[in-house]
Amino acid sequence: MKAITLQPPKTAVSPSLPRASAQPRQGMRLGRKLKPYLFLLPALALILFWVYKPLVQTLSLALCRWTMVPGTEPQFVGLSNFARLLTNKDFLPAVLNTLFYTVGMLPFAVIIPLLLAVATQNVNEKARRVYRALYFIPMIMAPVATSTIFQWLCAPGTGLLNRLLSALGVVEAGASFFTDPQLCRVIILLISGWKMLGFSTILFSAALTGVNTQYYEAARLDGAGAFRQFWDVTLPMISPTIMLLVMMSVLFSSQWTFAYIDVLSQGGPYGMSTNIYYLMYKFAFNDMNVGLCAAAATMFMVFFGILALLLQRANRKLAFYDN
Amino acid sequence: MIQSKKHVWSSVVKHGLLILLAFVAVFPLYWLVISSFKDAGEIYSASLIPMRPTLENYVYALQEIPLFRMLGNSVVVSLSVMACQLVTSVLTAYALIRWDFPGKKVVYGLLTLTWLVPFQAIMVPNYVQVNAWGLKGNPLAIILPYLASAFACISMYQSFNSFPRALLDAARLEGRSELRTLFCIVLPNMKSTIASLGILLFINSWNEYMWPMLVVNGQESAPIQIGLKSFLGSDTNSWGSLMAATTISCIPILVLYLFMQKRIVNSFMKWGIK
Amino acid sequence: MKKRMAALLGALTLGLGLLAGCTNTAGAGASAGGSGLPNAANGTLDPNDPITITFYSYNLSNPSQAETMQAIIDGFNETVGKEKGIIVEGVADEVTGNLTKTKADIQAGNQVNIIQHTFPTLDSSRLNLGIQAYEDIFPADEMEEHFAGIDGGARQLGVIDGKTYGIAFTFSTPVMYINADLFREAGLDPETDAPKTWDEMLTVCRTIKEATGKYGLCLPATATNSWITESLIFSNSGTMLSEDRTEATFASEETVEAFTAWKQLYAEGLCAPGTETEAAQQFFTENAAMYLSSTAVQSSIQQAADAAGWELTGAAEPAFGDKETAPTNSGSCLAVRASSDDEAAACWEFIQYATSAESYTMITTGIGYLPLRSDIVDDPAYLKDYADANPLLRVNMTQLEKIHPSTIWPGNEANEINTIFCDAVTKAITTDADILETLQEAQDQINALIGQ
Repeated sequence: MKAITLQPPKTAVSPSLPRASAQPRQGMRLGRKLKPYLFLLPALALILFWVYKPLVQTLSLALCRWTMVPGTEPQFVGLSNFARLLTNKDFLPAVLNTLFYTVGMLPFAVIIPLLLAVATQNVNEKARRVYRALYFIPMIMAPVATSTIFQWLCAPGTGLLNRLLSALGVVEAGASFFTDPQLCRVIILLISGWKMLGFSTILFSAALTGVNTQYYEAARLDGAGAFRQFWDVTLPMISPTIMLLVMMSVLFSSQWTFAYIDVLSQGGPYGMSTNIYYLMYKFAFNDMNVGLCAAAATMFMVFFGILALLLQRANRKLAFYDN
Repeated sequence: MIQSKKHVWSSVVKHGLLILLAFVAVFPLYWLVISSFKDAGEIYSASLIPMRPTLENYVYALQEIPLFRMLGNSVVVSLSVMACQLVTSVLTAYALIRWDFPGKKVVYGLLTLTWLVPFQAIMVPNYVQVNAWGLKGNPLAIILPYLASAFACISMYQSFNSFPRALLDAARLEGRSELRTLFCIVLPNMKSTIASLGILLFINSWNEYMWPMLVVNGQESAPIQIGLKSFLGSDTNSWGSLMAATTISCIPILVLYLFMQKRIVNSFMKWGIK
Repeated sequence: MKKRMAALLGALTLGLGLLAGCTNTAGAGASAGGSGLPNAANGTLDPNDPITITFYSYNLSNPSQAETMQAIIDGFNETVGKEKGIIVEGVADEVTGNLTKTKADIQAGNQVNIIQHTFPTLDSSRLNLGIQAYEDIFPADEMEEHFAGIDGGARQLGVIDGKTYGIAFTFSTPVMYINADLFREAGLDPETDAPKTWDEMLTVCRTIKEATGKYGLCLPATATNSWITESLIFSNSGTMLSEDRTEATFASEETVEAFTAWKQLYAEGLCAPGTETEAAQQFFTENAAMYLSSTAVQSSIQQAADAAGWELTGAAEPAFGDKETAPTNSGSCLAVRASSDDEAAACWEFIQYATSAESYTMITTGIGYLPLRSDIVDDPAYLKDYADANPLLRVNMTQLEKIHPSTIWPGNEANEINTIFCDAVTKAITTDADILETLQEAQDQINALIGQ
């Protein structure tokens, strides 16, 4: 399980924690020393067993060829899985789509919600609460349920959205969204975006109400217009929220799209809506080629690791904390 | 005078935008529910309310797949996962705020670095593992890998961090045991935090899709998400019954939301999403 | 920053340490099979201590087909099974025939004995999933006797390198369903104006589109339909594989010609777009005049037609010019994985039952697949009544004589190869991409994989 926390990151481990009492009896010293580890043991052992052990196994499987069939052993094949991965016809589209889903998520997770939140600032508290309750609904809907709803909305010739778009002349009448190489991934992105839109707006609204009004007054005294106020005050003040949402979109949007791809298009047509995670699943369970899956996983973990480090850096540089 | 006119207009625009967004957010759900009440002759019409409301879609869906049984499976799985993750994360959080010990940074590092491990990078070995134990098709297979969650540990730790140290020190001077300190002093003060985090963990587990899809065997032991997916695969032609099944699958979470809307929104805002 | 780096380094070293100690990743299960193959002849069956075997069938997932398949399983368990001590447990696999569940259950080490297996990936299952050759595990004399009534062409469908890795089970050929009412609405006679060639198909579709605004044809260019795609290629004298099955050969002039005719229908909006289900839906809801598909869907189409009150007629698959059509087979064969002599004996009993005249009668009447034993069509004890009521059946049976087996992709990587082929077809037909270029690219990729 992975998640990101929305609280502004504090220093990872506070150095000024109170030390445990300093007058122990000799015999209890060992017991006292072990105590923290005993408390940590359940969670830590489970996480090591279910996350890090399999991770290491995956790294080593990347060098093997295996079908996962019991009674067979992985065969060492060196780096050939990586070579095959690069020549796989779906690999490049999957990488590009991963990028597409990631970048495409930013308007829904950051840009539109930010503009909406700014445009609708100072709505009275009661109304705000009602809107908030409604906006949040997509967030708690399960991905499979969401997929079936949108499959129905997009059904060729009979779905409401399908008919609406063809009436507006955006698509041909009776067009099949999920077999259209361009439309398919756009619709999948829209569905993921639909889930995030309201939630991000709520987050930004909350962040905006937290901004100290004195800053605006000061800016106004300096003669700043609405745009300058937004640029000089609002943006810096809510930069931690922006950075968090950017980071979340970048790291997880491809994960979010997985269920929609699986239910709605199975990566098709001809691999045009797949992303790297769905491809890994296909490798392991459809093609029964575990090595290829592991090689892709390894490559992308390194890639996302580097990306996360860069984002952390940017976060420290750009985000402003009003303590 | 001009000022107030401008004010009215800006207010109209604001509410217009907000209502539009609310419509976008809620309409698919509305369409889901009303479609499920339309009969075969009406399902393709664009009418916003069913003219001849019928329960036939529900009857058919319930007859085809054991929806209630699947809801039950989901409840059991999600409650177990939530409870275990709460227990393991409370213990972890307590250890992290209570003591300074060698390796603390490593522990915290291990917890945070799980962000960077996508599910697909560990699914194969974990799948092999639960199969080696012969657990495929057993609800335990869905639960076991989720007994502890790094996300829960970190979130819990961040909340515990605000706990007044003076109280811990006082407990120590009184000579209370660590477990008693945890249960009698820390937990009562953290009730609300734990409840909020619990809801979040429950919803996360309820919506979990990929891992259950791999380890479930047959409809009887399937959680609702997987059951719904199999129904979708087998019967794409009758939209009405599919919408009925989907509606039923959404009811528990929506009811939960109806009663605890504020708390749920707040906990998502506080701890973020998966 | 330093602290974070330290934490990261710590985790990394820990990881590497684990890596060193943990290279044996295989969940070393019991090594089933091995060199000593099971032999049905040595198996003993005991009615007092019945053995349970599993039958993975994708028909069990389809509501309109599951009933028949379950009836065959139940019928076996109540008769032969009870008598000899065998219980067959039916397991439903995904309806697409991708064998998702079968594969996952074999990977999980579950008991998977008989698989209703589609043809394209049979060879990879032979190599990876431990599918056994009939000749290796079943008694030769009994096999010869039992399969005597099965047509030679059908008998060969599951044969790889001279051995039977599956006997054809559910089975159909392409047939063209026609909405007679839409034909008449467009001023066409559903009998005489049904297109016999692909050139005629284009004109008929245009006429229908102009007159009614509806689609002319449903022939989705998707993976589920790849057997019809192959039929188009074969009908224009193209080939899929070289004679010795070591090389893909579909990127040819013949294929391009065949595909151009098909693509034209798409380009002019005469062919219903979408997935197999979506396209079929268009025909079911009277939005398309023709549907080239499997005989297996006949009963459900007939039901839809009766319910909505339009007339359903049929015709044979169109030809290219004056070349003879080469119908291919869709459907599946029964593949076997037995881990003991007893299991092999039990599997053999069920396979005999499932491929008997009685079972084929049920499969044909209940689902619409073709009977593999042509002699039962005119036998009043079996299919005569049904064949008299459904004249399409005899039309299809004549196609059986010239059947061209659908391709079994060679080697380990059949799953990936099949995806490459099907995706290339989708791309070539439904987009602006150049047909030959697209196919050539796919063929090169496939040939690079065949050796591996």
